[in-house]
Formats: sequence, C-alpha cells, structure tokens
Amino acid sequence: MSRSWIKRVVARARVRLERDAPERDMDEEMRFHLEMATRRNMERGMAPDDARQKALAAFGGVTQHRETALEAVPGHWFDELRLDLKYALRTLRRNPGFATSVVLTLALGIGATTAIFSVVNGVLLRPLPIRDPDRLTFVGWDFGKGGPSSLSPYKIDYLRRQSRSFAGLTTYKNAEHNLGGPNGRGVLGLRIAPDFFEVVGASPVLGRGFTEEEEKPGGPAVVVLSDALWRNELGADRGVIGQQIRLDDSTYTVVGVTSPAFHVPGNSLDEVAFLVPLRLEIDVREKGHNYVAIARLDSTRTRTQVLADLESVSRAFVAEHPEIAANGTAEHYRLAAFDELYIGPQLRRTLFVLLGAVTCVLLIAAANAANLLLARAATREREITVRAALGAKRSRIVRQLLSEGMVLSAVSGIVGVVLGTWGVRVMLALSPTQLPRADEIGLDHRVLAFSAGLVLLTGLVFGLTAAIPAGRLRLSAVLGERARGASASQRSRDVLVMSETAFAIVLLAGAGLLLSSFARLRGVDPGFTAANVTAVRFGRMPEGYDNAEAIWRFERQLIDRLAEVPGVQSVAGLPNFPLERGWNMTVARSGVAESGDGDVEYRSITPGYFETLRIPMLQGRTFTAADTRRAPHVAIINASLAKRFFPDGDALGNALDMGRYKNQWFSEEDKSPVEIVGIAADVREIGLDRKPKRTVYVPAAQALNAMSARPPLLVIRAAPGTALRVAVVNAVRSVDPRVGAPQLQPMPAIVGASIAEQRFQTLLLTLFAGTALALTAIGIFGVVSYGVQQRVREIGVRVALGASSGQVLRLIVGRSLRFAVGGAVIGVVGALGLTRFLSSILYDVKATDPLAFSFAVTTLLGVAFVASYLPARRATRIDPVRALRLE
Amino acid sequence: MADIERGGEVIKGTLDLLVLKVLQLGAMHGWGITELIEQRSENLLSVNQGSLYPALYRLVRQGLIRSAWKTTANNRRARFYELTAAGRDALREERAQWERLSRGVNLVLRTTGD
Repeated sequence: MSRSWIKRVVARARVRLERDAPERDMDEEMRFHLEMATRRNMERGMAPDDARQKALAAFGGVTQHRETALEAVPGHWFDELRLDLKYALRTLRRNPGFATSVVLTLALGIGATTAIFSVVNGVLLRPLPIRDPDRLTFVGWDFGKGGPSSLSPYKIDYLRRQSRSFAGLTTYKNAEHNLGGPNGRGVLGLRIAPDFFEVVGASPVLGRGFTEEEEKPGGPAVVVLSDALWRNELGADRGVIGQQIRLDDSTYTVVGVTSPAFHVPGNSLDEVAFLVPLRLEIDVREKGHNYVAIARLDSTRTRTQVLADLESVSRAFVAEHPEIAANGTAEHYRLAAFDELYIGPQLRRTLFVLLGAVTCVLLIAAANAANLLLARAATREREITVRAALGAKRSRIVRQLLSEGMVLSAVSGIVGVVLGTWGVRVMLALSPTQLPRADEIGLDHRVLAFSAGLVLLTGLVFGLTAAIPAGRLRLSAVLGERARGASASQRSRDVLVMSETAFAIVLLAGAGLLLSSFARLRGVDPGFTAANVTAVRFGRMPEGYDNAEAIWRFERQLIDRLAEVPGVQSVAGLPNFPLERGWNMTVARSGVAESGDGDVEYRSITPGYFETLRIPMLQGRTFTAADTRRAPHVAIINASLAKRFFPDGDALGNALDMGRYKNQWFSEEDKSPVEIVGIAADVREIGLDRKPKRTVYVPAAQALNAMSARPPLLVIRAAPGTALRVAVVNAVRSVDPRVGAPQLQPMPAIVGASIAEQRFQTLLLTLFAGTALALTAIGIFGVVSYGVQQRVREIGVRVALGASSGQVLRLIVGRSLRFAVGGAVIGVVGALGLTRFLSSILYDVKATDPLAFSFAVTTLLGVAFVASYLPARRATRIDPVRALRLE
Repeated sequence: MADIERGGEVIKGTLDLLVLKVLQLGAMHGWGITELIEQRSENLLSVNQGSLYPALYRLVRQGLIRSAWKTTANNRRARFYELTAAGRDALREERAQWERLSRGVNLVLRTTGD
C-alpha cells in the first residue's frame, strides 16, 4: 500500500517533467482517433464522406473535447494563458506600427517613473547598510529655529554624563589630508571617537579598531584604512597592517581595514578613505558645533521614554548654561533620523512631488495607450463579434484583450526600465547639487518590484478600458449598422480625454507655480551687483600659512598688486562669498548685555568690499587703510542690525560688544567694544529666497583670529574683457611662487549656483508638464480623428442636408472641448488640493496662485482646441456622395 | 453522446477501471481502447470520446498510466498508453472494490426479486 503510494508520487512527478505542449499532442491524438473511426466506418461499407461525417458526429465537438481534455491536464490554466499570450504576441507582430506607438508611449512613462522612483528609493527608502539601523540615531542640537545642528564637544560630554537613554553615544568629525605627503591627493577621512566602531556596529575586517591609549592626546599616530583605499591604492595587500602611511606631514601606522560594506551614516562622508582617532577636548567655551553625534538607543527603552529623558536633560542643560543657550528653553537636544539631518525635509518633499508628477505623466501615457488599444479594438469589432458568434466565451475574449494589454505593457516595462536606468544617470549628471546617498541610486529589487507593479497596473488599467466595451459587443454590431454613432468604446474614449486633461492640468498648474516662483527668485535684488565681479578662491596653502597673520600678509600684498592691474576697478578680501556659507557671531550693544544677539552674520573684510560688490552705504563711512590693528576697532552694521539695536537711528558713534553674551566673553581679545562707523544697505547673504540677516562687518586687519586662518578669498571688479586670469596668476607668483594658482569664477555664476536646485526642480517639473501636454494633445487628436472616421456617414448626411462646414466643425470640436473642459474642472479641483505640497518649495508665490492656474487652464484648452480642430477640419471636407456610398 | 443502439454508456467511475484493465493486456492507443472495450463488452458498452481522453490524461497525471508516441502496425504515429507499476496496483485495488460492489449490488437485487 505505502509502496504503491510512493510509486504514484514518483510517476506523477515524472509526468510533470515530461509534459510538453499538451495541446499540440492532443490535436494530433484526436485526429488519429477520427481517422481510425472513419476507416472503420469505411470498412463497414460506408462512402468515404459519410464515414467521416459519421465519425465526426460520434466524436462530438472537437473543440469542446479538446477544452475538457485540456482541463484535465495539470496546470491547464497556465497553458491557456500561454495560448493567450502567444496569440497576443502574434496579433501585435502583425500590427507593428500600433505596437510600436503603444510601447513607446508606455515605455516613456514607465521609464520616467522608474528613474524618479530609483532616486527616491536610493535616497529615501533604502535601508542604511549598518547593523540595526533602527536603533541608531543622530543626536543634534536645536537652537530653537527648527532643523537640528551637530554638537559641540561640551554638549556631547554633557549628554553622555546625564542621559540614560543610550547604549552608546559616539561622535566623529571630518578630516582632510593629502595622501602620501603634502603634495599628494587630497582624501577625506574621519576623526572618530573611541567607541565609534562599537556603536555603529562595523568593526574593521582586517586588523583592529583603536585602543584607549591611541585616543589620548599624544598617543601613537594610527589609522584605519577604508576598504576602497586599501583595494585601489594598496593592491588589497593583507600585510598592510603595521605598515606606515603618510598623511600630509605625519606618519601613521596602519592598524586596520574597514569592511567593504562600511558606510558612515550620512552621505557627505560616503567616500571616507581613512579613520583616525578623535581626541575630543571638552571645553565649555568651545562654541563650534562641529561634531556629529551618533547614538545607539538602549533597547530596553521605548521611544517615548527616550524623548522624555532627552527633554529633561535639555532643560537641565539650559538651566545650567544660560550663557551657551542664548534662546533659553527654546533650545534642546533632538534626535534626528539620518535622512532628516542629511537629506532634509525640502529634498524629501521635492522628490515626492516629482514622483507624483511623473506618475501623472505615466497615467496620461497609459490613457493614450488605452486609447490606441480601444481604437484598434473597434476596428476589430467584426473579428471579435464573429468569434463570439462561433461560441467563444465572452470572458475568453475579454481575457484575450487583457492579455494583449499585458504583453504590451510588459514589453514597454522592459524598454522603460532600460530607459529609466539611463534617465537616472542623465538626471544625476544634470543635477546641480550632489544628492545625498547618490552612490546608492540604482536598480535593486525594490525598483524592479515597483516597475513590475507599474507594468501590471498599466496593463490592467488600459487592457480593461479596451476590454470592457468589447465584452459588451452584441451580435447586432456586425449585422450592418456601421454608423451607430456613439459606441460603447466612444464613451470610454471620452472618459480618457477627461482624465488626461485633468492630470495634465495638475502638472501644468504645478509647473506654472514653480516657473513663476523661479522667475521671482531670479528677479530678486540680492543687494549687491554681481556683474563684472570675479570670485577668486585659493586651495590649500603651502607650509607657513597656518596662521592668520601669514595669510593676511599674503592677502594684503596680493590685493595691492591686483589693484594696479589695468582694467581692475577694485579688489577686496572677504571671509566667504555672498550666498555661500558664512559665520555667526554673538553681538550686543556695548554695555547692554541683555541685547545680545547670537544670530548675527559676521564678515571680516578689506576696505574695497562695499565698492567692489556695489553695496550702498546708507550712513557713515566704509573701512579704509587707516583702520589698522593698532587703530581704534570699528565696525559697519547693516540696516537690519541698525534697526534692531538702534531703532532711533543713533547707531553711528555707538559701540558694540562682539563675542559676548551676558557676562561671559568668548575670547579675551574681544573685550574692547568696537565703534560703529557706518551703516550699509541689507544684502541677501544667505540665499536669494531668505530675508537679509542682521550683519556686522569688521576690518579684516582688526579681526586676525583663528576664524581668519583659512585660504584667502577675493572679489575683483574689472572692466569687461580684462585678462584677469593671467593677471591673477602673475600677481600670486610675484607674491609667493609656492602658492598654487587659484580658481576663478564669475560672481553671477555663484548667484546662479545658489538657485541651481530650484532651477533643476523647475526644469524637471516643466519637462514633465510639457510631456503631459504633448501626450494629451496626441490623445485628443487621436480620439477626435477616430471619431471623425467613424462618423463619416453621419457627417455626410448632415452635409447633404445642408450643414455648413462651420456647423460640422462646431459639432466635432464642441464635443471634444466639452470633455476637455470637464477634465479641466476636475483637474483644477485636484490641483488646488495637491499644489499645497509645493508651498514649501515656492518663493513668493501662493500654492493657489490664480495666474498659474489660469495659465494651466488656458494652455491646456488651447492645445485641446488645436488638437481637435485639425482632425475636425478633415470632417468638413467630407464629400457627402462618397460618404453615403461608403457602406 | 450515448450510443443507445449498441448499449449503455459506461458508468461514471468505472471508465478508469476499464481503461486500466484494457491496458493490462498491453500498450494501446485511445482509439484501440475504445474498440477493445466495445468488443470485449460485446458492444454492450460504448465509450464516449469526450470522457475517454480526459480520463486518460487524468490517469497519466495520477501516474497510473504513461504515454509515448509510437508507430502503429499500419505505420501511423499514435500515442500509446501503458500501465505503470502504480497503475497495476491501482487496478488490483479497484477491481477488488468493483467486485465487492457488484456482488453486493447483485445480492441485493436477487433478494428483493423474489
């Protein structure tokens, strides 16, 4: 008994393996059966024809047997599906033009959507490649203004001492060195705290991490290399441990190599080449928030407990250190998801907006494809009805059309994914800002699953649109009446026009908003004149330029030389270019400690600054060569700061305390007050879309401190056509030939770069909207052309009965416009709901801006009119005699 | 498709048994199976092609018979079916079961006939 059971299982398994093309075998087998029966009948004396007739009769319906028999074959549904697909492929191959246009339309939609989705996936969705990333979090400091910043050493130390929420709290800081010596290639690295590997969960695979002794000041110089560096530069030599490498002027002993998967959470450090120990000096006066803190949450604590703990620690901190927390209890520690700190809500929002927009494009593309399929289904009405009359089940016909839809969308999906991967590359190349985690953007199972989902969905949606009216076909359709007016498929087509219009309106409104926001942004007066100004940037300075004095000497000599160059109108040194990152300073009215403002932009500049950038002076004087280190310290403030500190207009002659908060000085040198000698107009220093910040300017000569010990930056105003590059290189060489040639950049380019991200968003969305508009136009054109073709007879009758060509035009265009207007109304309602997601990336434009909306509606209706007018004109040329003879 | 002239249609469920039995005599194609059943039953039974082929495929699927394309005596290609070892076991079982059933049915019919 049990033996026979096993035999059965084995035999059954063999059947499954051997089975091939059962339906073909079956046909042959039944043919054989019929022949044998016919022969027997003939042997019994029947005439050959009779014999065959009798055999056939005895056999019954061949197709029916075949189907019943097929159903007994395992997996018959699969074979049926295969048949459907085979048939679909064959039909499509016979109509290459139709298939190509559908595939191209859909592939573009799927490709664009796949491209955007893979960016969203890489940047936002993909889990970070570290152990238990859910429990890993950044800890930042919120200054009461939103987004968290990194931490100062003291704040890290305080949190370590006071909080019980973390299983570990580690920190790192960026480091930059030249590999192999001062002239080597610059590589990026990290200084990491002792417990970094443990907390992040990524120990070196070769060698070890750092020991406690190595973390101490004066400990041995050791380094852990990244897998990439080890592989690419050291030939993956396993004997590297214990060897020495040079970073700038120092020699380090290699103690370990990271795993290939090692990844520092947060994008800016994706290309980490080395890790060296961080020696954190805890000093309450160290103000720089330059340390990124990563914490591993204690697994026994809930998130609520952690947040409560953090809040009480923050309150204790603010109470203990009012001199550091200038904004009082508004400041606090804050957990930040990795993407919050590195990706930011803005980018997240933008990416989702783009994904939504591109999905609209895809839907329009699918509608167009459905349209084509419908039109073709209608021309196949006869074939389908004949098949129905011959007994094909309705479900079978619907399934057939669905299969065609699926085949089309699957092919489009493959083409689309190829287009998409290519599109992502183009997009990343065009993108002005380095996207975070850009190296992780690419095809993975998630993107493929997403695309497969798109394929399935579009296939289903547009297959069904075509199949449903076909399923409703009745025999009467073939029995003559060709001019049935609005057929079932006509209704579907009208719905398609409406939904296309609606989606297109949403996209056009969005693009209109972004365009108008971008135009306003470009039109913003930054407060300075960028034209004819060139920015000069120096890279690493050679040995000897490690202090502010040396750099200042170099800078001053260079400025003097450059000022003599013919064509140069003025030159100035500055700490950072406008619209690029700047410095903050705590400033108070002298002697009025409570007035301390910790959020003032701080610029140490040379005398030619206001002249070079053409920033108007409102009152008082600019700096001069006489404002030397030994002269009384002076400052110029901008209008915003003057208004804040001296609302009565008595700023000139008054004094400021710099770097002082309440009773605490941050630096001994700053103790003497500075006198305000001038008021300058406001400048949008931190972004064209941001209000001017309160700013204080001091003469560079009077502000030689650690902050100014950095490679110099210059702005030069020169007459157009001045050969600046040569002049600058020569001047640098004459001051110090060891200093490398600087980088020159026109100031307008810096202004442009500051809004490049907005430009890119606007470009992409406009591109999508344009595509949507074009697809909609094609769709409407197709629908109307088809409608005209179907109504030739009816129109012929109308013309014969005296309808003017104007009336015919009105008839056709009117119908199409009616649905376009319907779609536009739906679209406007939808857009009103959706564009508010744009509001955070809009500048000076409301998300419901009537101009953008009316632009969208007029453009679309205009296009819809043209797209229906062109085919409608053909209708007016219909010759009634020929039209009536058509049947 | 009952062929009333020549006798009754094969009772549902017994077709499998008959097919297995016929194949016990040797490998045979579908047409031959029909013919053999009709001959052996002295034309009392006829096989409906509409149920024969589904039954054959079902038995193949169950692993009780297997099929192979061979040449007939008349040099025609045909699909021949033959019993598998599992099929032989199944035939024994089903036959025993059928005999029990028919004996039971006969006994009942006889007693009530008096």
